[in-house]
Amino acid sequence: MRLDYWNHPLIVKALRSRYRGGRIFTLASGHLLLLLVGAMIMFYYRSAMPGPWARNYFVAMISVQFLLSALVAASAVSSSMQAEVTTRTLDFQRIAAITPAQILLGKVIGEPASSYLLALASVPMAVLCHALGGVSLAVLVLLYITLGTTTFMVACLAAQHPLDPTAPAKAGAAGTGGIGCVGVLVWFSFMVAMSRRGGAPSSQLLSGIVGLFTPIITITAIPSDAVWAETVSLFGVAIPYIVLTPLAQLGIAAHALSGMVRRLSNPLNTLASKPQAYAWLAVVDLVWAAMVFDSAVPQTGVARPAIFFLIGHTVLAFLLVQLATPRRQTFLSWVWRLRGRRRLGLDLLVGERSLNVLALGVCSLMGLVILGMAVVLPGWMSGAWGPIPWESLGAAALLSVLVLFSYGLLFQACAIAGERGASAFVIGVAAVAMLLPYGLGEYYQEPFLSSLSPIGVCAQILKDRFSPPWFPPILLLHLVAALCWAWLLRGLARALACEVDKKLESMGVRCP
Amino acid sequence: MIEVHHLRKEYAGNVALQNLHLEIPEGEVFGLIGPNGAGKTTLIRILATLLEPTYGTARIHGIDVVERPLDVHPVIGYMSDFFSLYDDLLVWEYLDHFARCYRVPPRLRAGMIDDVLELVSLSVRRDAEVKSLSRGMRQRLCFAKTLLHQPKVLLLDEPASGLDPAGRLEFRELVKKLKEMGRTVLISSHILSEMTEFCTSIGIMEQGRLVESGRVEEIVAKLQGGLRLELEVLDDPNPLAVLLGMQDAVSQLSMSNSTVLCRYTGPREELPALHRRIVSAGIPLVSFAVRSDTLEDIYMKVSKHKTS
Repeated sequence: MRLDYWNHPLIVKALRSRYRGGRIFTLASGHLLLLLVGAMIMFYYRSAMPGPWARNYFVAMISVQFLLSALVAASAVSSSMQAEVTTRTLDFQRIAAITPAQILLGKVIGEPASSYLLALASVPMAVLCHALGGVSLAVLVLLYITLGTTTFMVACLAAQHPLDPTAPAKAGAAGTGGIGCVGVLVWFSFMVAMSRRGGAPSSQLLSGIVGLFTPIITITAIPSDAVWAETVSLFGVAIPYIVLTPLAQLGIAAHALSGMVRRLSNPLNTLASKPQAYAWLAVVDLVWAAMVFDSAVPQTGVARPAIFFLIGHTVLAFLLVQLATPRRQTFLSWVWRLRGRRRLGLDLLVGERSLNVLALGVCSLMGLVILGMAVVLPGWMSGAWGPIPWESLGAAALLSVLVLFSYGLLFQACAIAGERGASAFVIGVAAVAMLLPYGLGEYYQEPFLSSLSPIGVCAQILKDRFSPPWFPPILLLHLVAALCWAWLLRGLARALACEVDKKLESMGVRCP
Repeated sequence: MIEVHHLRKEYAGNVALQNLHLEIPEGEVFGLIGPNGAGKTTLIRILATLLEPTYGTARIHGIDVVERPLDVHPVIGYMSDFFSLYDDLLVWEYLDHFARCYRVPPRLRAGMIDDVLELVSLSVRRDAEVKSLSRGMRQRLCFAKTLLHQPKVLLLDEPASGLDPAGRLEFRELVKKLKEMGRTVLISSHILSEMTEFCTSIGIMEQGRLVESGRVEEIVAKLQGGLRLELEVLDDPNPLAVLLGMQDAVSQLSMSNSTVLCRYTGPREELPALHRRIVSAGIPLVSFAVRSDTLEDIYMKVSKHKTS
């Protein structure tokens, strides 16, 4: 896809409407002036701060810059999308000769132009910090690249918007920009707290996730001059966050953008196609496997990384399948228009708008294969992890498959039964089903009750207290649930197909 | 140019279009008539690729609008009944934005913008801010945007709804020009009297169905059920009414002041004989006029005023 920045209609339009006259220079020079004032204040109080003044100032300035650029980008893009949808000006662009991808790229690059401009305005101060020995040139350049990718990622996330002008409530419409801003703020604060406070979040895995998607770990390492020492280990290869973060952020941005492109192409499209969901899951599973493999220590054995991998995989697989799961109107369009165009098996596997049944199977299989190939096999080959607890591992893997199937099928059934609320309902059911038995079991010190929740089973395996019968009750529970939802789903799909067939007959059309 | 078969659109249980068939040849100006909620906007939005039909096919210029929407976009120009413009831009900038969106080469852009502004009589407001335009001007600017990339097919949904009488007159002339240029136009409107002036064909929609469609004169001939006669006498119309009442081919007699209205179902060739009979009966005939049914008459006859 070609992007001619200066001739892109949406970018030109954004620049014309936002920066007519001298507004662009006023904004840039005002920002630079504020940074200068900040530098002077910090210079005045330099003796009260540890470390070189230039380094402290650079950390403060770049942190503010990240926050400011992200907030401005989120607010500008979300309010612009909101306005275009409610006034239906987006319709005119959707039917023009530019592609949906070009429309969105124009939006996420053009609308937050002020974010990029503010970043550029801070470059002289950053160069000054470098000249005064506050930061190395390589770190400075890579941080500005990360600033660009962070802004782009936030803009892509803010561009997610329903295309039905009547869908968002008025209050929601007015507050979308504000919510975006607050969301980014909370996201930053949360990530900071997660990565640097004590307790469980300081674990390697969580700080790895924070480091992959935010610049926080890199920035907090600048005062101790340890930017290159902050690394994430993937299958034994240590890669500095400062190098990996922009790539991970571009990955998130690409994922968000592709979902919105599909929605813009046709509002009935699911946010991801099934092949896209498989590809994303394979990539993320592999990265996750590498991270859990390297976070494991020989004393804990293979159970700990395997359980962590399965938890991450199951959550990710559910989220990705959910993106490819058709809602009621989308599934109805499959029944009316797409049903019978290709063989049912192939359609369920890779087809657009068909049920998610086989996608759940493929994702489960991918998880098992990656678990075996990327976690268990390397651990077993290294010989450092001792004997492999096949029974516990088998039960956990089977539980992951059954959990994915039971909640995935429930979600599909709910999404077909009603257009809205399926996600909230399934998340609510999952929260109750997982937390209630575990909480009660822990409170009454009853391991059986606790083992009726996947959380309880994982905790027992991790504590090496898992002694299952030949087929643990939790597996039976999830198997029965999955079969019930499958039966319900089959009934719903058949009823819809029968209804459509009758209408087709009344129209004088042969049913597929 | 436009072909629609078995088209159906459902919105959460409501059927907006049901089993619609329609063919509009190239160069036709096709008027869609129907009450609110008849499915006109839905049909136009489906053809504009903004809505996916529940079932059926719709082709423009041989291109399936559902399967290949991106290929249809350069062929169509769409104007909706409800629209907004970018108020922060100048008039020429607004058109330049869409010229870029339609990939008009840079060297042609300025000329094309001037041409369409001239066409919609907005040249004098070229450098004005969009927010300073009146409602009629905004409508014309949106229409200019629709014509910018010289589309072969124009889909106009209630394009004259916000215009004043002068604006409507201008708009009518504009559509006539487009007709002369050989463009295919699908237009929906409530102003039926104007539709007869520039439409070559019409379709009457009701409850998501096309109740009648075809060339204007064919539909009028088919549905009017004879000729409408309007006869004026010098004084008392009763003798004339009695005489007409004795004719087999005359029905639906009515009188107002010195005028008698009736419907004549006999052959047109026998009208001079009827005229002679009236005159030879000594009735002081002032005028003997044959009136065609208007589109309103036809519409009122066909329509049951039901929404889908």
